[in-house]
Amino acid sequence: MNQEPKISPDHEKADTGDRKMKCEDIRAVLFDYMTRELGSARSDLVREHLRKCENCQAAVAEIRTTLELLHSASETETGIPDHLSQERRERIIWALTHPIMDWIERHHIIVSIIVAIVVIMAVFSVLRRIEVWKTESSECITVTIGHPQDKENPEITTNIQNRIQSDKNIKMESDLPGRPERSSRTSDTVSY
Amino acid sequence: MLDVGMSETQKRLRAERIQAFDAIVSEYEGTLLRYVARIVYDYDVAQDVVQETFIRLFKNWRDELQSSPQILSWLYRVAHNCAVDHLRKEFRRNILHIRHARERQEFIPPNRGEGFHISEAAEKAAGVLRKLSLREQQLVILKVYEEKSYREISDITGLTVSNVGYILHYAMKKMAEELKKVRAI
Repeated sequence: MNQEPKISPDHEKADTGDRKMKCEDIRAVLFDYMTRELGSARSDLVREHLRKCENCQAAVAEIRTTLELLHSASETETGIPDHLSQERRERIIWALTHPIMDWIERHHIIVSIIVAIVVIMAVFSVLRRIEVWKTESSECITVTIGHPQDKENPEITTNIQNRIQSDKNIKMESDLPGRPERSSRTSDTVSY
Repeated sequence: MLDVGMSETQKRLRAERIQAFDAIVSEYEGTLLRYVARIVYDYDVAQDVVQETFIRLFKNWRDELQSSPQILSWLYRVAHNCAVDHLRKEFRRNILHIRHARERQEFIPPNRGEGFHISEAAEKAAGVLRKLSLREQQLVILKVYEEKSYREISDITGLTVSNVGYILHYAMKKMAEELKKVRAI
């Protein structure tokens, strides 16, 4: 089967022969041809084809009109600035001279999340510490009343006993039933 | 603050780099603003995108800061990516905006920014261009408005030269068909 080789732009391996091209092949490279991306040999082939083919001439006219319309659209674009605003230029220089601050500013969401996490952890840690401190301070402690040294100050012993008895949570060990008499110590022990 | 701990030589090199960078900004800002404005259709946003592009250039460009085709290609590529990022964010915002507006039984079109004017005659062509995919728009803008060669477009986009030709061919075909439909051709 004798198949017509496809024409291709300069950048591809191309058929350099002067065989007749199909319209389909020509149209595939019309834009390349019109924008001077085809080599001279292939451009000659396209030119030659266009001289005889009205359909392909119409295709060229369509592309040309499209390009003209695009250019006219571009001409009506007013107000595209030629320069960056002074504010933007200063911002660039600032970013170059303060890279860390710039990074923080540009990643403010991430930074905010990290800061929030740190604050939450710090608050949590403080609350936990307070809780531990409270627990420690409310743990069962033993107070010895009537220590031999206190015998010299009976007023202190009496005061302590009065205060302890006023607290509902305190039970005097001496009040507990079945408490054996201590012979080694002369003191009473309370737990709360 | 940044100068703390820098030697005199480092300070001088940095000052020279900033000076070279400033020259690059002056040379390419207009080109990039025009290019980005045609993608995002908002001059304020174009300014933001170009600003971001230059900041990235300073941070990421390791070679000498000197005007060259390579640096321009790099700027086009980064500006395009930033513009596309912006459009995607705007798209997501617009979805929420439209959803919210529907709930309130009203629709407010998104602000294209002051200063963006287009005549009635050319609106159809611009509208057809906007209907293309972002990739096609990019190639058409680079070829038709920026007058870049396929080779240069290939450098900017990372596409092969053959692919550039192929996409442009179909983009132009699509545009011509659309313009025929709206009787502009």
